[in-house]
Amino acid sequence: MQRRHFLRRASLAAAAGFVPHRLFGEAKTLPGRATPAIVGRCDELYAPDLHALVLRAVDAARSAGASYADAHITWTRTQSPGWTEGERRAIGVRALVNGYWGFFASTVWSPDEAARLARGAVAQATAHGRGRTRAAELGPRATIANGEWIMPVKYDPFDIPVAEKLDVMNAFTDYASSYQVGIGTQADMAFLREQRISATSDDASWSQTTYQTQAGFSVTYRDEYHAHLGAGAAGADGLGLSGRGWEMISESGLIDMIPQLIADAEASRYRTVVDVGRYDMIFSADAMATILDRTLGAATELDRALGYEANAGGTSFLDEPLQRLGTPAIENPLITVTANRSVPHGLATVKWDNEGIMPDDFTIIQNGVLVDYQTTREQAAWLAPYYQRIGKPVRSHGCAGAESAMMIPMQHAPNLALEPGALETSFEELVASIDNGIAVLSLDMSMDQQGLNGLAMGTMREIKKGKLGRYVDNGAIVFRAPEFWKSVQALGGKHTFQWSAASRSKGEPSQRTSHSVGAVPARIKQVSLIDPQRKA
Amino acid sequence: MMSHDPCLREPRSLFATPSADPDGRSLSRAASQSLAERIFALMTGGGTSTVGIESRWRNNVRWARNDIATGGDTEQTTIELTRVIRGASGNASTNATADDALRACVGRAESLLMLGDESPDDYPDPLPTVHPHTEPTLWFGDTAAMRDMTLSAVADASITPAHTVQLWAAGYADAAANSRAVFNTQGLTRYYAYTTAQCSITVRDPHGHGSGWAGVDWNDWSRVQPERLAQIALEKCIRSRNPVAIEPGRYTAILEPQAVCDLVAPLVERALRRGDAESESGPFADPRRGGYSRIGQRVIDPRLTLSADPMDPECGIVPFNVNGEPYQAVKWIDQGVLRELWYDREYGLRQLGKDFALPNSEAFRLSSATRTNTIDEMIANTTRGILVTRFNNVDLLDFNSMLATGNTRDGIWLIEHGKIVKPVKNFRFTESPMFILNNVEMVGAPQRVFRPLAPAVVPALMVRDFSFTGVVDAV
Repeated sequence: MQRRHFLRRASLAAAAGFVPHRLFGEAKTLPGRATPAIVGRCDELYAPDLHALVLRAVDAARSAGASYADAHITWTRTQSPGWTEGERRAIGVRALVNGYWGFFASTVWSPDEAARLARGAVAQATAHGRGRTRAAELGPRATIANGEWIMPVKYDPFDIPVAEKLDVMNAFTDYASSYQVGIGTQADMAFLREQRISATSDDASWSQTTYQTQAGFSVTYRDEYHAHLGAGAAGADGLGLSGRGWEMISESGLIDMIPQLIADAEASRYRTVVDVGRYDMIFSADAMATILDRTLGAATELDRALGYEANAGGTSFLDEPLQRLGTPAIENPLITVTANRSVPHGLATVKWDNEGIMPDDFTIIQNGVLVDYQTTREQAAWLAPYYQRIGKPVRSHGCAGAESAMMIPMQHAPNLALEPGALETSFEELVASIDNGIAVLSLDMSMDQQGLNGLAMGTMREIKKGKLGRYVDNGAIVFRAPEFWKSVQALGGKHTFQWSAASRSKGEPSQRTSHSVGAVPARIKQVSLIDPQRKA
Repeated sequence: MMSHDPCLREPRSLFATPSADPDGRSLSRAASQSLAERIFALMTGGGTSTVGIESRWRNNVRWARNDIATGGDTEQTTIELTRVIRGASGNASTNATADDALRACVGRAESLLMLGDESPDDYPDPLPTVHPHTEPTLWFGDTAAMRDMTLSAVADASITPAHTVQLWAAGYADAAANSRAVFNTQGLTRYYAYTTAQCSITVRDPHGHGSGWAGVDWNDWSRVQPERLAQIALEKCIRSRNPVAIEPGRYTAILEPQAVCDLVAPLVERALRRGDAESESGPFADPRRGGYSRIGQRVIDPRLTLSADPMDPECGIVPFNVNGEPYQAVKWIDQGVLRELWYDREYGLRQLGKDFALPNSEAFRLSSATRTNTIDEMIANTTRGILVTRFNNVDLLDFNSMLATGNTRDGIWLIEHGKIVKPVKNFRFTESPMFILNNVEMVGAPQRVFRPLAPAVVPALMVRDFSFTGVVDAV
């Protein structure tokens, strides 16, 4: 009864929210050209009711002996306008038998294939047990059914003609190059839409559509009268990878940004060679987001901390979680790190994770103390003794995900945030507090396998007498995570908080997912500045 | 049994060649051809078209903390379509083979084509079927028949010995049946079936005091030898426990083959492009003559040769690229002298007057023409130095010098007076492969290492003055 109910809803959803089948038909001919005769021998396989397929898969897994199963379909469109277009389909089934997992996936959407994948996953899980039984307690089960969620965007980028996108890129180039002599431009965009249709053997069934939009608009500046200064470059802010639609670009006020971009590019030609040493530094919100993600973000993935990623993504300097939880990870009460999958436009934002859990907003580090890890249903149970000790329910934080349905679901990073300081301090006020130091605007990181030691190059500027000065060439900072976080002396206020994009690879076969990381600018005392190109 | 995708069932034809993979999990020649013909039939408006088809079935198993963690069995065929009319081009890809998906893919490529500028001079016609490719043996029936990696007991090969000594084994192994096919409307038909297999193992102390690693990939699973890898990883873990910190600085370094590969691979992947070198970019641009490469000049130690050959029995690779262009046997660097840099067909036509490309498969063999030494001999000849297992996250800092940074991991030891004296804490390094290949003391016998995306056969090297720039206390 209930099943029939959501089958009907699913068909409606497929017709309303998803790419209508009709769209494909429209694309098949070009104006004025003859339509070739096509033998439609595979068309009968096209299954508009994708919910029925994932439900069939979990049913088949359960009948074959799975104690739990989930099945996912992903239908992904990608586009780099004017350059390339992509479509990926996948269906994957994960099954749990005697506490062991198995996973089968392919690209064929048919009822027989759904059943084959389910039986395969069960057989594989059974083989993994080698006759043994392992306790795999899944935390509280999903309670949703018939869910549907579409990431709120104003314009689906795939509804906007490629020609319009090319026009925007050309307009940027035309305006910028006519604005001033000596201006070069670069423009690119990329779009992704993923439709995910999922079901679990706990009678949960849902679908979600998420978007990722990204654009790069930059200018380079070179003038022949001051050739000794070299070229300068600057890129438009606020267009990094984000959970938004076409409006991120169309409503960005791009053309109005051009004078400032050119001024920034011009200023960036005034450079100085790095003067190595230890400096008090101001990190921008973006630079703090990068460091947060690659240190505390990576280190609080529970599978890494326990050694499940030892042969792949790495381990964690915050290992042996049950001993460590409740103790200081960082000796600095200023630092509070939270996680969520709910922030608007977040890259990891969803309504339900891959196990049907509605993710909660949770705290990982509270005033320096490690209070939680990123978890899935199975992983939450691993921390049960801790949760019981502090009187919290044992519950997944909803961090199960996968790059696509071709990949087995596992824990992936949620959106992460470094909470703002109590005072309304601005970036400029932080800079003004330093007499002779460095401002770190953005970073490229090289981290070790435990999220502990890093070297980062990036865009840096001198700070002289409380003001931003010349750009610093070839500077890099070296740091060890606990000392870095301990050295944070002041944080920017709420209004300085800003989201950036991040992504991380883990698992074998390797899968990559994106998430957003929010942070505020910070003042860090005595950071080592080196010139990595001048070797020891 | 046939392919699980009914759209890919082979046509019943007297002329169809038998499938290498009897289950059709990866595409046969006939199935690839029939798929390409379905795509060509959907095209409108003339011009030329190229279809690349890659198919893969893969079965894997993953273990950690001395138990099997997950596994997977996946099948996927990806299709890449390029349409060209008078230099305007459109590109689209899909992994779905139903008619509606193919029609959509063709439609997208053709819409892009309509938006592109025509520039007949810039785009040579698609490759005609003129240059034959070699035929290395890359298909191994026993590997394709590895239906379930679990049954091979590959996980237990490291779990059992690690468990006995209270250590934790983690690892990954897979076997895959693959095919690559390229067809174009000018009559080019290329198809190659190949199997791949890999295994890598990390053995760690449960309290994080030591870590060891070993891994390798081959086309033939029977050459992977997980027991041997397990033993190496286990020994490295035991011998690396409780390392002490020593001062960073310049040391004589003995780099095991995997460590050499980790440093040299970026050179092969990034720096061998002729167009870069001739536009004053990268390590092979001649700094004294702008616009010229260093071809003909000595660039590394004269004992060393950097080469690639699809027919190399230890380093074979599918003998053509995604455009259907054949990989040739090439010595990029012959006894220290730069001889070749890769170029595409357009460069060949314009600059060299040759109607072919010299593509880079990114497979490589680094070898010595002279006597080789064992790692034991290198250690015996070291007064004070460092023995390195491998590097982690090698990131390029500067393209011109190829200066890179990263850190050592999974086993690093101090050598004094010809003997390994103690495990040391990991180091961050800042070093260029150009520098190390010019500071070679001894060269080992090349061996296949772990590089699943393109094979590599690499020797151990003993090098002077390797720059370790900081202590990294991650294990």
